[in-house]
Amino acid sequence: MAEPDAGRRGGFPGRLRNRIVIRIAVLVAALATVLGISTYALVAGALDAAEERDAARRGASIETALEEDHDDTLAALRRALVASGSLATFAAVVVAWLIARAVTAPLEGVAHAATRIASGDLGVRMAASDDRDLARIAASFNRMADTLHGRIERESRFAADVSHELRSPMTTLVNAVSVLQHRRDQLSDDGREALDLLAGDVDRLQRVIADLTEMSKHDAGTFRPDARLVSAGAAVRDALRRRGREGLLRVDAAAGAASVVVDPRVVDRILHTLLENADAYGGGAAAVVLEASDDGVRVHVDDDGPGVPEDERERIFDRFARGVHGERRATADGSGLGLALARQNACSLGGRLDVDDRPGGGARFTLTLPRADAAV
Amino acid sequence: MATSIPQNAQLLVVEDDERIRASLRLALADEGYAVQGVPDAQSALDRLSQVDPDLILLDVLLPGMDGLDLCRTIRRTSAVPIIMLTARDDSHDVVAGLEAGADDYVTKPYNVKELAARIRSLLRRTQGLLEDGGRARTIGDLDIRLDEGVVRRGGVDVGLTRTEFRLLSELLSHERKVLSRDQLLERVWGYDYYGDVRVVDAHIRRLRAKVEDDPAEPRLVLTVRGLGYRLDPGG
Repeated sequence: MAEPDAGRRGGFPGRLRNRIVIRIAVLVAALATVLGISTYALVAGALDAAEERDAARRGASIETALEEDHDDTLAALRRALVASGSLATFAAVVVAWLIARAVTAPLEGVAHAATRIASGDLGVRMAASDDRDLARIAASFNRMADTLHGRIERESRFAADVSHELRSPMTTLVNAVSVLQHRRDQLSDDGREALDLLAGDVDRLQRVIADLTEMSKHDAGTFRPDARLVSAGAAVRDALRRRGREGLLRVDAAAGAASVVVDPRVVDRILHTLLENADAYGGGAAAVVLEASDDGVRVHVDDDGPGVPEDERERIFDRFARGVHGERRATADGSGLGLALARQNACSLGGRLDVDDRPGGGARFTLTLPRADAAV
Repeated sequence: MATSIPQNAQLLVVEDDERIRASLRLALADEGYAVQGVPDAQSALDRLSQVDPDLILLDVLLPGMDGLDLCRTIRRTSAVPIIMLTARDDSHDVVAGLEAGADDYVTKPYNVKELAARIRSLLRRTQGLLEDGGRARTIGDLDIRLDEGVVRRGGVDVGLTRTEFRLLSELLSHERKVLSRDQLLERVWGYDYYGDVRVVDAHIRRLRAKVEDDPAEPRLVLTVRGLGYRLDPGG
């Protein structure tokens, strides 16, 4: 990813500016050298010829005062040429730098805006300009940014709209199934089997819709966790107690006392997903370990399963991820979005979610929550 | 649990989607409620002029007058418990519904178990008032009749809904002590787990608007920053 200020520190326009300056400086220095040397050679040749004529006229080849005079003149000329050449090169560097700055300054704006867009700030646009050429660049740049922004927005709104449109029929389905379940005893065996299939998939569909809705809120940046100061130990214990899994919890003393600023409902959602994932792939959660660390409080959800191969450890957090053998991970959470959403939720709390090997075998999913004093 | 459900409580469902209305009627009947359904605000008001339901389920998006306006209209004359049925749980719909006077909300697609739990809790809470029996308090110019579920100022009923009244009496029974928003959600709304604290905040705002001299400068129902709310009877 590009760093936000690349445009200012040695990035694209900065380097271009330096290149312009160096080239002009080298060119002027070379020109001055050639000019100096040829001037010197010309003058020295002319003086030599004068000396020879003088010597021929006198018919003697002894050193004359004129020769000494000429040596002094040439020395002075050398000094003057070196001085003016250096001065010309220096002046060229200054002038070239000023010109290069004027040329690249507008590009700096482009580079800066592009960098900010790349880092996710889609609302950035270039300011209008009096300069005709620059105005054209700015206009096409802004058009491109508009198109990009619009497309990204449409895409995330589409997911939200789809899940929203599905909510009404879903409500009917869920309630109608519940009415049928109430009358399960009145059905034949086949009828009961069909009802169970129906109920199971209505349930799954409901979760896909709920997860899609939540995901699109994350994508649109409208997900707002309701953060409050809670004890890390209490938040995790509550989530486990709700599911009758309190017995899994191991807490080190420092972690139990640590406070975190989180939305406990979001922590609950994450742990729910991790426990379900452990049930589906790891033969059930073996332990939930709460420990203090340098970067905050860590919640490990351990299982006794085969673990997650190293090259899959990022991929399992992808949306609708499939395993190496192509099996759907969707069976774990019913929607295929569970782990992706859990990671996104962890990020929304200022924390992170990773998977590693559990010491002694199995997988270890680790939710890291920033301490209250470290939280922004 | 079944014993605490009032026998044959009458519910009015205002929902324009005919299929949702029908499925809700069947499913809620299994939970012991008699449901009448109407498709829009006008038929709801007509029905309300004839019958007096124990609780109203109100869809936010209705053709013509929307659920929010209908809620405000009903609130002008009635303290009947209202649950908003919203399609989105983002701020706007939920807060607007609560500001309009709803007691609680559920998000589509709600299942009937969840909805029945909300209904049960609301009905129990509004009926529980009578059990407090025979107590009255006077704070400043407020006359709080716990037995009647009424608060009067200078002899005039300030018109609290049942939930607002429950909230006030919960704060009153712990006067001067801070109750967190989660505690209030649990005690007044019956959420057994972290609920949506915006529900509490909206009700506190509505309560202040009715019992405070200056709702912008509350002197009775106080916010304790970062902790919750506290009732200060003064003097």
